[in-house]
Amino acid sequence: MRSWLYTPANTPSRMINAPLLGADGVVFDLEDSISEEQKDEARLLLASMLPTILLDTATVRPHVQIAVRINGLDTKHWQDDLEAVVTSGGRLIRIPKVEGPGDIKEVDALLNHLEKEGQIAEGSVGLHALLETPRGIEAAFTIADSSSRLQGLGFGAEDYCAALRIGRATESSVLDYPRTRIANAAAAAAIHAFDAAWGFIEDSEGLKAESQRSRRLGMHGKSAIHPSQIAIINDGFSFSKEEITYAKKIISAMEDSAGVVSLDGRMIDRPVIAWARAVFASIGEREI
Amino acid sequence: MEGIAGNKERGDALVTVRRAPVQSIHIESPVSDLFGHLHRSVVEEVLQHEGNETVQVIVEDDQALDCVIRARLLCALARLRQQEEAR
Repeated sequence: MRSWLYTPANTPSRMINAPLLGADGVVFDLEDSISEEQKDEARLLLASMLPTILLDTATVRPHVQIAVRINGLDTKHWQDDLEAVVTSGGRLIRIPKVEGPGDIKEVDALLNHLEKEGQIAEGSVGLHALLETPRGIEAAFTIADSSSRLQGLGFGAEDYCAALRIGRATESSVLDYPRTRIANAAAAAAIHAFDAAWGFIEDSEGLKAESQRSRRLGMHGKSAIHPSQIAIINDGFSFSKEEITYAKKIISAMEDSAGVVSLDGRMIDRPVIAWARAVFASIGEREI
Repeated sequence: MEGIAGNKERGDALVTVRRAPVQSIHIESPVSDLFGHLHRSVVEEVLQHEGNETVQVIVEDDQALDCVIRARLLCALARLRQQEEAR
């Protein structure tokens, strides 16, 4: 899952079209892009539209995942959001500003109740935890390891930069630490790591550079806030033709040999084979 | 006093709800010839589900899906009730 397109959950025409724009995933947003006065309106709209969108997407874009970002646990909205999403068929929730495993446990408890009440298979609602504060970053692994519902950790750069009083676009390396921490925690828990959205819509070179850097740090994908960003992100988080060719050579060499293999002067051992298989798994996910 | 929800944008509908002596439904839509009956049945279904309150409903539609009109009407009714409770 390379690209996740955020779409405000109060714009019917954009919501219907979002799964068709080439992103691997769509996140309908009830949080930052919805004003306080529109929270009720957006929640009702999403609950009413979600069954149609899920059915359409499963039919014409079955590889596209649909998630919903609910409001933060420090607001009065998150429980109503969660109930509306789950009862209307949503099965992947993004929780903003997670700061510790206690936050996940709180959501998990309500999900257990909603699943039981709605006769939904236990544990079928998955979670992405967004880490957007220094405290959340430091707790990355305990959060990732706190529930079997966790499918991914996401980074929220704007709030993080605000907390540290640093500029977002000044120097890309300043965000290496939180990204590395999230990527490592996610890998340790065998879940995905997603980078923050790039807020400078006109700056496609900046997005390209940040995507490549995030991938090199171990992240699997990145959020988009505009359709024009999707192709750049998909490209930045895809294996190159050279990598795919090399992975094919590794698998072929393994199939042709019973023992330890050397390829182009490099010893091919278990970690290298695992990398080659990961390349194929990634390609398979997207039906390339 | 009235409850309003939605927008006059393509794919959306602006729904206004007011208390009235008798229930009435007014729908303005560029696709009323094709979908007017569907829009009306959605409005009637929601009103019935919500207790058949005597309200005037005005739907200004711009090619919204029926699920959008349903959501906008539910929100307009909720907002009308909130205003009445706040008085």
